[in-house]
Amino acid sequence: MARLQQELQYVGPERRRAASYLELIAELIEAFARSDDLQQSLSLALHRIAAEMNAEAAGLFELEGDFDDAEATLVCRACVGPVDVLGLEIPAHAGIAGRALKRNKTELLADTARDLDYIAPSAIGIDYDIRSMICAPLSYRGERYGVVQLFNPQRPEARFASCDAEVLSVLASAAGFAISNTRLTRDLLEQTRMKQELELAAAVQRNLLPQLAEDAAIQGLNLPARGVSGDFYDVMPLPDGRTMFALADVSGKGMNAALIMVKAATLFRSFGKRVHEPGVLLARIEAELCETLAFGMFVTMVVGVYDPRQHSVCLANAGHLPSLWRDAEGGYHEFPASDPPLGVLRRAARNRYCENRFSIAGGSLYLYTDGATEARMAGGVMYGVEGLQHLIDANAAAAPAHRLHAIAETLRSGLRDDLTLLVIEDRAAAQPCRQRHRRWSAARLVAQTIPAQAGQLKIVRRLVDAAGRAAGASAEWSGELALAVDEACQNIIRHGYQNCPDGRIELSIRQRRDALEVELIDYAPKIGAEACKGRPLEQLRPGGLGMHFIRGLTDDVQFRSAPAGAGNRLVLVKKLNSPTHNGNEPTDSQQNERKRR
Amino acid sequence: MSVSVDEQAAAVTIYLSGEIDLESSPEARKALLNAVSRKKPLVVDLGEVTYIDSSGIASLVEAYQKAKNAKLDFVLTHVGDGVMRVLSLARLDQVFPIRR
Repeated sequence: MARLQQELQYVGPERRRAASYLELIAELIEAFARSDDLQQSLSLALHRIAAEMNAEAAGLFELEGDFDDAEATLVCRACVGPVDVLGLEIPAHAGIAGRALKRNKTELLADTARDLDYIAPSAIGIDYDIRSMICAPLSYRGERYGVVQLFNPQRPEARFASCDAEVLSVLASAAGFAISNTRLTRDLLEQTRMKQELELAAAVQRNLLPQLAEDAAIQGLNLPARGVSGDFYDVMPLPDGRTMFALADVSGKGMNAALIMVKAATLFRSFGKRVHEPGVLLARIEAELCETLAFGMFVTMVVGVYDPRQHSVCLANAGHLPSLWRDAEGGYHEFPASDPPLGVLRRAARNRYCENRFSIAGGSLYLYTDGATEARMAGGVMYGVEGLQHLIDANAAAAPAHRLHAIAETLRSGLRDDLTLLVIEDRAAAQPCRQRHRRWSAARLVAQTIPAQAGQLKIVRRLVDAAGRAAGASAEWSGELALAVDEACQNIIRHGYQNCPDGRIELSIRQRRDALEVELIDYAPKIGAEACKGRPLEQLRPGGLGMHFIRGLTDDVQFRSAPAGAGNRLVLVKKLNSPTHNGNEPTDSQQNERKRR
Repeated sequence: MSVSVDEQAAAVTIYLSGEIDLESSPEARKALLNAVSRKKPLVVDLGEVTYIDSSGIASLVEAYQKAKNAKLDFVLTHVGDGVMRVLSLARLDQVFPIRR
């Protein structure tokens, strides 16, 4: 015993310091492990460290932001010493602290004056002189949380030594481990809470979808790819017996898209009670949506009204995928969007979107989101519109509700995105053609305003073609009328509006007893009928064929007086019984032309 | 509409497909005139064309005239009924060399 005491007397001050440091390390590690309040434990630990290591001042700085970000900062969360720097914010990439973080290594400056990276507190207006310091990173497995720093040993002439740096390094590691554990626990709790909230949000969204009777003519289906959906559909009966419907897809996925979807759905419900014109309703929804839509987000949406007595729909499509009409004979017709998505142009003053009215007599109209066409088949190939058509055909005999479920069931395993489907089935399907003709006599088959742009001509042709088919005409007959109307629209775009994309064309198609009458109204400067004669065909040159096609493919071309405010009104008439042009049997108008020559 | 070009030692073949209208005919015209500038006999395959309007016909006429001036052979192949109807409507069925 005496010998031991003797030996202890000879243990130098360095060894005694190291022994007490070991106790401190053990004590703090245990304190961190037991702690419920890490912030408080760290603050207490800093005071114990400063006292035990005889430091005049100490500071604990937390890293704010990602260290890879050049703008990241260090914020003082605890301090000891003559100057209170709690809350002080310093750049995370400068000075000794920046170096310690970057190297993820403890920095010892026995004499601060000898280190070129050292920045004196006076540089940021703090009146404190640092002679000697240690800075240790708080990190765990490469993740950086901040730094702990000790300043100036108590005795004025003393400097920190490498054993001090080693001790602080070990303490900082223990603190880093404690911080890491706390954050992991917090993240786990947060994840659980988010998951619960996501489930609640998904339930709220499901409740927004309409409850439809199983035998209703309009059926919808929504299958979210994750818990919540960026798609929605809605169906709303109107007092006059018609039904309004909508289908939309918000750009992006996840919670932000889901929130915008809820807003769009709510706007449709509330405005839809008073506004029954799809084009006007879309404009109203856009005006409201734009106020809150984050830049870069947009919504594609189709709004329509189905009239079961007229067997027709009126659609407005803002940037959404083409609507698909499957006619009574099983042929498909697409009606693409005529306007950009909501939130892209942000034209608040716009008062209506283009509307497109057409017959779906005897067929079904399908609206869908890209989840349907972008679903993958077993080999990884996308279904596409054709794949969707095959699925519709395969389930055509089933009732609408069952048909949608069967389609969704097939697509389910290959889904990459939310899937939403809506079908409007016209129930006057099985009527014989002749009766349908009578029903349609003098009826307006199409009434649509179209932007005067080359890219819209495809839509014009689809509309004319569908009207021809609805009137019972052959594909060839309808195709000829479509070409004639396309050519007339080209003339308006090129010569009337001089290719200025702001112009518009009002297209309407009516069925007379024995003919279809296509009316085109534009707002370009008036042109005389003389300018529309076309050129003699004997001259072989590239342009000028358009007017010749129009006259050759129709039975009558009339330049009628335009309504007030409009520029020109052109009416093309094609008799339903006029023979189609096959190169050998000229139509009447061509015979007349030959006689003139 | 889409365009593909197959250039062989003996001739250049241009395959046009889809709908050639006011929107897409500038692309068809560019491809046709490019092909003429190769100074080789030109074959224009219209087998996959589902629609052609006067602006598409105009592009064919222009390419045909340029080829003729350069004394190059120019022939339309796989002309379907729909395209044929439009050509005959413009009385071009008698002008263009057509290999059906």
